[in-house]
This record gives sequence, structure tokens and C-alpha cells, in this order.
Amino acid sequence: MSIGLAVFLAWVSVITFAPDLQASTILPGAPIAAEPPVVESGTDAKREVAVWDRAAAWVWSKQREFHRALTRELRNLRSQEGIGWALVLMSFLYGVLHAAGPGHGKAVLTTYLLTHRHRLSRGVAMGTTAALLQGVTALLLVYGLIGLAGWLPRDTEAASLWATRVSFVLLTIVGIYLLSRAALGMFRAVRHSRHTTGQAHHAHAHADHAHDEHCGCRHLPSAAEIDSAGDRRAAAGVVLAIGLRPCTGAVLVLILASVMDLVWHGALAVLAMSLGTAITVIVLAVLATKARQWASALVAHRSPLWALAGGGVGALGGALLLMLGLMLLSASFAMKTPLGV
Amino acid sequence: MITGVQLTWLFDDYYSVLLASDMAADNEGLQSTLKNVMTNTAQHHYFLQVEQQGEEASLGVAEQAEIRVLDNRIEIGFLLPMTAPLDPGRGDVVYRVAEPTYYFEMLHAEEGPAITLKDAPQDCRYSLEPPSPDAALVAYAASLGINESGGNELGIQFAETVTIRCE
Repeated sequence: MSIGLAVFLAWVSVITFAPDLQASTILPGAPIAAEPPVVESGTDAKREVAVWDRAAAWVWSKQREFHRALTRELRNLRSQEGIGWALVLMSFLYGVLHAAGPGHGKAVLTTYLLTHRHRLSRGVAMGTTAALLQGVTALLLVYGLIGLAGWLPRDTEAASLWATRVSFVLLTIVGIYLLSRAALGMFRAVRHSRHTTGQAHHAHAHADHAHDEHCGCRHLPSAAEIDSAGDRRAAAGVVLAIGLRPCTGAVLVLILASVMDLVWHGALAVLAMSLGTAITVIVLAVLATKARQWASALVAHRSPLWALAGGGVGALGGALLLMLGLMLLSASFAMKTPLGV
Repeated sequence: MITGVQLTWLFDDYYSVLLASDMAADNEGLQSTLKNVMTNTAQHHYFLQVEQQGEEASLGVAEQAEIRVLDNRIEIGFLLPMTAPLDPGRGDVVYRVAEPTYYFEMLHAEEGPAITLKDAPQDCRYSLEPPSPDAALVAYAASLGINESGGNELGIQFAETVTIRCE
């Protein structure tokens, strides 16, 4: 008697794919360009798991499930008429979850909002625009290049990588811009405080707290001050730096949709995804804005050096964004070419 | 006696699209991809690990390798003969399929019978146990970038375990 064992594996897939960072498809079994493995598996030593690690792991495995489910819904749609609400709903939920995970967009927006003076509406508008822009970028990249320019899906990944790099460069520039503006502001504040110390805090004599341009104790800036052209430029830079980087889920859905002739369904799904992302990002923006306003309120009236401190915080934010931009940029170039194929 | 394992790998849509766009999707392109995959995976025992009573069974070289495109998805199938047939009556036969670095995730099909015991006696059963990686391991796997290897023992910890028992 002889038994043959037949095994059917229906989900063989790259699990940690980030379409924008891969030069060519790695074949199963091909060596992956990699750091020497430093995993201490097999040992009984239990690694400590931080809460943060657990959360990241949870988001990661959920995203994996979502990628699978999105693929399945798209496949189902091929034999169905109609809008395909299941796909739309799932895309929306994916957007909400995706935005909750760790990502450069959130880090950039939060850093900016925490370290720079702005109105709540500005923060919300920035978050919404950035989230929608990400969807538009994915649409233009995938549909524009595949559908209109006749590129191969593989090539759109390269294009996606370049869009990502442009966004990192932009981020670096925004960082430099914010840093230099803050430095300039601090320089002015220092000069002014030297100039006014002899005058016994003249600014507090103003009952209505009218702010002359060089007041050393500004705390409640006028709308005009917040909406200065420089601030608008910086905010636009931040939004573009986030929005130019398409999200992996959107690229996945659009590439599959274009191959399966489900172009409209794909676009609708990405729209839903962007809306979902926007909702989470808006919550984040509101929290960051409130946190900043609360912190400012604590110190504003007490310290004549507030302008200096505010400038320092602004400079810190600029420096953080600058560093983040440079780090991400160098990481995106450090990718080694895999030896597969 | 278990004489061999017939394996079928059906790649998911997205990977299939990327792979198909990399090669000339004609027969020649498919065949050369198949050849590469079989050569590469041979060095990793075709990602299959079969054990009986803690002892690893030795498997031969893949035969009858086939590649085809099925509804936009790429499918590779082959037969792995056992160098020494296993007698399931001697004890449970356990197998796992895993790409060692966990770059690829390999799971049994959810729809339809993923496992068939061909020509097996009536009293032979199999059971599939999902992987249960601990949180630290999942966190570690999640932290890996696309071009980072998790080391050669990561994949197996995310593998499904199948036990075949003949009473």
C-alpha cells in the first residue's frame, strides 16, 4: 500500500511587502539582500514585549488580514454587478486602521502641530488634505502610469519609490525652512529683550494686550500672525510631504483593479480608504493642537521669555522634521538590490 | 507507506501580477521562472519539513514540476518523493511548510480540501494546527523591512503544523 500526500497551499505571498521599496520580484528561495540574521530564536529567553511592540504587531497582522480581504473582495467583484459596497466598506475600515498604525505621515503632522502655533481648523484642514492627497497620488501613479502611459505594474513601483523620495526631500526642506525661521525669530526676540529690559516690562502695561510686532511676551497671536505667508508655505510643505507618499494598501488595490478591469471599483475603494485615513488623522490633529494650546496656556503669561521658548520649540520641531527627512531619504537609497531573478 | 508529497503552491494575486510583469508571460518566461524557483527552493528542501517521532524524513529531488497561470494567479506544482517511505503506522507523521526567513507566508488553502491523503487506508486522519507565535516574535517579524531577513528559523514559527495519524 502506498500513500501519496497532496498538499495545496493557496496563500503563498510576500507578507511584508512595501511595493515602493522593491526593485524586482524576489522568487521563492532566492536569497534576500539582508543584514546577517541576528535572531535569537530557539533560545528560551523570553524577550520582553513592550506595549508599543504589541500594538505594532497587532496593527501589522490586522493590515495583513486586510490586504488579503481586499484582494478577495476584488476577486469577488469580477463576477458581480454593482458598486461592491463590501469592498468600499472594507477599504474605509482599512484606511482608519492604517492611519492608526505607525507611519511617517503621522509623525510629520504631529511634530509640526505640536511645535508650531496654529488654529484648530488649520490642523484639521492639513490632516484632511494630506490624507486625500495620498489617495490622489496613488490614483495618478497607478492609473496614470499603467492606464494612460502603458507602464507595467512593476514600473509603477519604481515610480512610487521616487514619489516617496520626493516627499522625503520636501520634508527635509520644510525642516530647514522651519528651523531657520525659528532661529531668526529667536534672534529677534533676544535682541528685543535686551532692548526692553530697561523699560520694566512695558508690554504688560497694555491693558488689551495689543501686540506690537516686537513684543517680547506674545501669547495670544492674532489671526493675521498665524496666517502669515510663511506659515501657509510651511503647512503646505508638510501636507505635500505627507501626501506625495502613496499608501501600500491603495497601490495594492489599484494595481489589482487595473489588472482585473475593475478600474472604477478600485478608485472608489481608494477614495473610501482616504476618507477613513482622514478621520483618524483629524483626531490626531485635534489632539496635537489641543495639547499644544494647553501647554502654551500654562506658560504663556508667566514667562517674558516665552517668545524665546516658543522659538526654541519651533526650532526643535524643524530640526526633528529635518532629521526625519534625511533618515528616511538615506534609508530609501540604502536598499540593496535583491539577488532574485 | 507514505511514498511522496505532491505540493501545489498557488501564489496570491498581487505577487502573481508582479511576477508576471517581470517575466515574459509566455510559456518560455514561465518555464524559466519555474526552473529558477525549483533550483532556488531545492537548497531549502522545497520549504517542506516532514518528521516522524522527532526524526526528520529525507526527501528526494522534485519531479514533474509544473507552472501555470490559473485565473491570473501563478501556480507551481511538483512531486517530492520520499527517499525512504514512511510507515504512518509507526507513529504520527508531522509536516510543516515554511519559507525559512518568513519573507513569504505559506498557508494551506482555506477553500476546498487543502490536504488529500491519496490511496490511504480509511483509518488515516489529518489535523491542521495554526501557528501560535508569541507576541515578541510577531513584533519582531513586523519590524522587519522588505529587504531584511528574519533569520533562517523565523518562518517555521509561523508555519501551520499538520499531523497525520493512522490508527
